Amino acid sequence: MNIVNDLGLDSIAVMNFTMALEDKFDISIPLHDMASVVTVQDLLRTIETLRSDA
Amino acid sequence: MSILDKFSPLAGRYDRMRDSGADPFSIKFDDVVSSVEGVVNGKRTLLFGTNNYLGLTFDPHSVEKSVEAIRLHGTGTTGSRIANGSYKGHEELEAALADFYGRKHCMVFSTGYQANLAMISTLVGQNDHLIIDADSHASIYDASRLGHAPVVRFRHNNPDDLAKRLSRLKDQPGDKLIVVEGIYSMLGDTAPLKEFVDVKREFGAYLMIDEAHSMGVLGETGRGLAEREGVEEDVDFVVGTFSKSLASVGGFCVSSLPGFEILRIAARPYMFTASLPPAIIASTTAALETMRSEPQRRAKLTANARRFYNGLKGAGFTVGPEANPIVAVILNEVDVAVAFWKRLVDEGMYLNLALPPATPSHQAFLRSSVSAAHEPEHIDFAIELMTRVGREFGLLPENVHPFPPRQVTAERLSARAATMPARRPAADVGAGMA
Ligand SMILES: Cc1ncc(COP(=O)(O)O)c(C=O)c1O
Repeated sequence: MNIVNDLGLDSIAVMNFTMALEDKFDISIPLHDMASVVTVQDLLRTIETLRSDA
Repeated sequence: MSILDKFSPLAGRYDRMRDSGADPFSIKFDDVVSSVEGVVNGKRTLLFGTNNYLGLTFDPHSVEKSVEAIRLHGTGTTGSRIANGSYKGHEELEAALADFYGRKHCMVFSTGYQANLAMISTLVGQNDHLIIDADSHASIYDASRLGHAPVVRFRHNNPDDLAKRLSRLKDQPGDKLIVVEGIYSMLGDTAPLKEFVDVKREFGAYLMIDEAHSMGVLGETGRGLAEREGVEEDVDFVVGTFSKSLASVGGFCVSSLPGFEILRIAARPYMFTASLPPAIIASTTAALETMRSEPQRRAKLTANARRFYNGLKGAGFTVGPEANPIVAVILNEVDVAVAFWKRLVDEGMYLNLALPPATPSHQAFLRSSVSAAHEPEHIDFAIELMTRVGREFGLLPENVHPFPPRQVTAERLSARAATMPARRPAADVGAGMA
């Protein structure tokens, strides 16, 4: 699944989604880290990496 | 297939708006005759969408200085400050701005947009962190993409949210720069600056404020929100523009941070673009003098802003949270907003139509900016006109018709028009000539 296209998210929605994820996982997700996220798998990997860095 | 195909969704939306008879993106003024009056489609029109807060676009002092500067120094500098040299006027304006703000340093840029682009993209590097308000102006977002620092957004005007996000970064190395605006350009709300300063201190971050819409508007002497809130000492960088209160074009940043001057040979949007021409520098310097010597303009602006804001609020419109010179009427439906906007223009009132994504939260704003050059009768005309049209459109509480729940087309608007006797013909509502 393509998170952005399949969920019909525009760029602002993606940024707001990012903020919600930050709060959910209590991590910091810089906007450019989200730029490369296309699939749910990408998202999982990004969050996992950020959590293990924290 | 064309390189422009990717714009077809945007073009589709634009076409639909144009089909409804209104094209807010290509309105033409046949003439602009004063700070608050112009001619649109041959009709004398009151200007309520100019950002001309102090009404200085035709001020004789600025005009004369500008004409004189062209005669003496020519029409353009034909190059950048770094590659082609500074004129005396550039340095005098920088000194005047530094003096006005009581800061040691000032850099002048060719636009306010470039001031943000230059400062924000240069101050924080890849090992630092940039923390911006979610409702930041496009120039701040674009700056965040030009630079190399990781970017984190916090919820609009929410100091607790900022603190939460900074605390997640507290063990990370690098400097942190927080960017906020004095008055937000869409809704006219101000930042809770004292609280932001507390957070900034707690986390040892730097604070930048963009006073684009608050310079000349807020504070005892017009320095903006930081002056009004008494926290200038804690604001490390003030960015602003000449295109609003100072009635020309250009931007600036002032700061007392030691070593600031190095940015002149580090900030690319300063180095690689032509510097402001003599006429602009001269009128801006003159407007700054007028702004300082005529505080009554600010008093009148404040009174006008309150009159307009309270008038619209009293009529039942949903407006922004504060009575500042940016007054936004908030509408939930883009199509209604477009038709409303067109009606106002047809009847001789020009204001801005702000549509998502430029607005927060998918709403459409009828955005006005009040000027010190408006007379009370101008304001009253605008309130009366907007109230009358608002009632016709069924947007005001005393009208039994609530907002249409879904997308409103020109046809559906006219269908509702048929239920109310006081309306103009449907053709006037949404299907007239753009
Ligand atoms: C908050 C804010 N910052 C910066 C700018 C850019 O200023 P300018 O239009 O002078 O380039 C604007 C307005 O356009 C603005 O509203």
